[in-house]
Amino acid sequence: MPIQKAVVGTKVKVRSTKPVDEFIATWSEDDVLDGRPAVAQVVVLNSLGCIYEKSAGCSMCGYYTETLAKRPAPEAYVRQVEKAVAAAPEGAQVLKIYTSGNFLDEREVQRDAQLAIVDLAAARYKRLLVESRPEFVTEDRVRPLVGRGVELEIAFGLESASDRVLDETVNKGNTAGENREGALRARAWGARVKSYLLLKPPFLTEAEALEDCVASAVFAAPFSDTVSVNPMNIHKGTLVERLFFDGAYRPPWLWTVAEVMRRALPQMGGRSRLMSAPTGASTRRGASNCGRCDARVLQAIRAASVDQDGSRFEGLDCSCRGRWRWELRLASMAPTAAPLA
Amino acid sequence: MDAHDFWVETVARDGLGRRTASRVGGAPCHTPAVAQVVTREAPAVGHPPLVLADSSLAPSGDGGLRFEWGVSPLFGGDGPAPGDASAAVVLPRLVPKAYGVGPLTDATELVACRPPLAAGLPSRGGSAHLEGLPDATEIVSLQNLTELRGRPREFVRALAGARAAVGPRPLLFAHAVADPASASLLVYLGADIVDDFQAVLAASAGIFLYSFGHVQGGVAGACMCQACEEFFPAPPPGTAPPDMGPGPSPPGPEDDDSDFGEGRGAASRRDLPAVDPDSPAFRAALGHNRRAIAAEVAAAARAVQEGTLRELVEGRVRAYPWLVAALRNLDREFYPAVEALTPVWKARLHALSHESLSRPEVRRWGDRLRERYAPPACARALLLVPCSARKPYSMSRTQYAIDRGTAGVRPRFAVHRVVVTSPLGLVPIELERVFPAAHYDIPVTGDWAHEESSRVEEQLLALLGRHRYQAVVSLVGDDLPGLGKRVAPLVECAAKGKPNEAALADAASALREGLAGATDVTPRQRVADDLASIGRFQFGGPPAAALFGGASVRGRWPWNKLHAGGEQLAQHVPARGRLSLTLAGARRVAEGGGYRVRIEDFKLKGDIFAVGVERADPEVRAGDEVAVVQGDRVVAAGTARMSAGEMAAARRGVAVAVRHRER
Repeated sequence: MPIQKAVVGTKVKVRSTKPVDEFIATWSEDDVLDGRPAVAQVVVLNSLGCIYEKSAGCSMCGYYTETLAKRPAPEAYVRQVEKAVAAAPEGAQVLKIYTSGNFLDEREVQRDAQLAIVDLAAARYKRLLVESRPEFVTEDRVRPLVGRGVELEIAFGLESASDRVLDETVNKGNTAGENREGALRARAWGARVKSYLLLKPPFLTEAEALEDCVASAVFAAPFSDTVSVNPMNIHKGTLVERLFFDGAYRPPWLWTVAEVMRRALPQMGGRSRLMSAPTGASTRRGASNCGRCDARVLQAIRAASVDQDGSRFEGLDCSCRGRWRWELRLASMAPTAAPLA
Repeated sequence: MDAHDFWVETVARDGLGRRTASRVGGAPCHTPAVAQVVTREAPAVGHPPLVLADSSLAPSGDGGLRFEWGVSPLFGGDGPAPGDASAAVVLPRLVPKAYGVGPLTDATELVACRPPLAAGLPSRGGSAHLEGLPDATEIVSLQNLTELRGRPREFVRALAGARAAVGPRPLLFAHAVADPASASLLVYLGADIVDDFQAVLAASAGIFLYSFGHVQGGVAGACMCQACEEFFPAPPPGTAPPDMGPGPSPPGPEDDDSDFGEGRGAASRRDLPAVDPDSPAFRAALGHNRRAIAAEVAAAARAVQEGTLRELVEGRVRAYPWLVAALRNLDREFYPAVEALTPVWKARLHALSHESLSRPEVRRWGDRLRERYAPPACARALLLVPCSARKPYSMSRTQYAIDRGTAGVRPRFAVHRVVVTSPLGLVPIELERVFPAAHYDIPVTGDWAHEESSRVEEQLLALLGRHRYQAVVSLVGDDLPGLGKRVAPLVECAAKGKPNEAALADAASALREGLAGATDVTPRQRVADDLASIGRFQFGGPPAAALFGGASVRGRWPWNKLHAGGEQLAQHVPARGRLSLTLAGARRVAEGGGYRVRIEDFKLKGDIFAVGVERADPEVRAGDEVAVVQGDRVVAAGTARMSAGEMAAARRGVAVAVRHRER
């Protein structure tokens, strides 16, 4: 896997400098609960981070720069969550615990800590979202966390339905089929499933990224309660960042995000909710348009994420849309994924 | 398509640039060539002999050569094996897999598909990985160059490095980089085929591409091509010239840092305008841009034929600073590869820019002075003289005046004139007919750049270290004041404001003084020594020594012949400043260990073709006199038509034009 060397080679030495009983960050964001808008609290824990990252890692992931070299004690994790929950925004119904890794992997977060965090969530929230690679979705790990008074949702980084994209551009280290199996197991044991899709992995043209993401959304729909389109946001210390600095990569257009939703929604058959909350949108490192229409397009993406109405993108226009269309047309005629002009 | 009907025949070369008469997939392909990028929105203009077409479009059926992109391997394009029934050459689309990590990420990959076709991702640090090509490869698709526009060093390493790596035979297809300003440079860097993707891309933003740069909306009247004529109607007589806008405005907050055409995609141009594909503006820009790129490629082809590609490139690169930097990087990093493919004789050479000082012909002159040159043995006094526009120098008024001024110096033939000039540095008078001494022209202003004067000094010191002159006298004080202070025993006779007559009288007396007591030198002896000097410069020391050993010179300068044992060995060709060899002369040169072309065992008839060449001595260049060796015998003498590297790699074309062969 030659890309692995590049991924490892682009890593930086930056790590979390916070004490073990301090979380990294918390904020509130809009979410949807049972079809209605809801407030979610996001907590990024000061954690050991992703076990897969320690030996390999993904080409776009720089979350490791906010992790600790040693695993905090269970009490420290619990203390972090207690502090975060104390600062909960008003009316928050959903708690999202991000560990920059796999919540279900006891090498990262001890079983005791997992259980205590679920119980803390159960006291105040209706739903708890955690993230994991599919290999940690086993009966002995998932069953004890379900039925403790809070709905458990497990989010998977599916990224793409194409194994070649996963292998050759993301360095994901697993296959779309393994993600699907993991999601089906999680559901069987009573957890909800959210699948993240990576819109515009490196080395794909804008047009290829669009096609890949639509196909991936359709692939994910049957085994996902929610499919989340995550347009690339360039993290520090990643291969994608190096490509970006080299002029060999540019994050997707917001028009592409909108187009993915417009095209995927009717094909997903209402079996799962399609949403997108682009991070770093309208910045150099995130999905963006010309700057004049970014807010309008983002608003349509947000609205469609709630009401699943693909017609929200109709009539949306800007002078830069023509530029985007040219980029889609021309991408297949130049042998590069670099931005065209 | 017949997959085996691929071949490449180089018909002219100038450095890494060349013209070929090739066949690709059964269709004729004369390079350098541009393939029009044809899509649904961007139809072909005219009847292009080459297209790179969207694979969903039906072929035009006019018999041209059609390329298509294969499917990305990420999405089912498994194995770049298109159906053989296809009318197109399908280029495999690469996705970088082997990104190494250096100061820059480095895509190095090579996919060899069907035997004659390969695709490579160039590396920014050099393209050694391309050396792994199967021997049968005739065409290489070089991808991802677009990313390197605006990075002169990496771009040159990727393209010229690819040429150096794949060798002189395969056609190099450089994708999505050519515009009118860069097309000739791309050819000079080794691209055989380019496409006009940039024409379509620029047109999609309403940008017109010219050899002097790019202009949004175009310049009315700047081009008379069909598209421009239709789009910019000529104003009726008597009307005011078109409004050209307010010109550059002082910097302001609304500044737009457009870098279109200047490379570096990093600046995200999401606010670049978009022109509707059905609009007249798009069609006009597309028609113009396509023609502008094609015109530049045609100009480059003609320049290769004339041996003036370097002159064309030095002019064109001035449109964008990164192109100039790319040319300088080529000179700095790829001189051996470029020099090896630069013929030793051209009809003319114009040294017009700073880059001319480092062009391969000029640098080769300096190298040969250093490595091969030794003054005529009988020379006792060195006289540095200024150069003249008239070539050869001895035919100039300056030299006639010097002849008259020093007429009384004895022994007359012990005086060795050496011309001081730019960009070559020193030209010993006996080499005045050698290319490029008799063929160059420069803009003369009398001002010398530091680089030029230090080159002269360096060469002069090397010369004095190699040969014992009894006197060193200079008439170039006007040009290089203070030379006497830096070069020890030099007597300066000319200075600004000093009358020429006085300077000449001073020079004559300095020479007389230096030559006091010197033994006489006969004209015959001097001519023999001059020819030996030419021989050393042409063949190097040992082969020249073998050629001249025991030989005698006949004839009146410069129409001389070299004889030994009643047999002619060589003849001086004044028009070219070179010795042409007879079979006997070739035998001697071969014994000296140089300029041999070894051929396989076949009955020799006419010229030697590249396929028949086993190997050639590495110093052989197009235009050199060579000895053709078969087994342990020299069987012919002739003129090389290609360099040693080409003879080894090429499968077609004349390697040696035979003048004399064994009966």
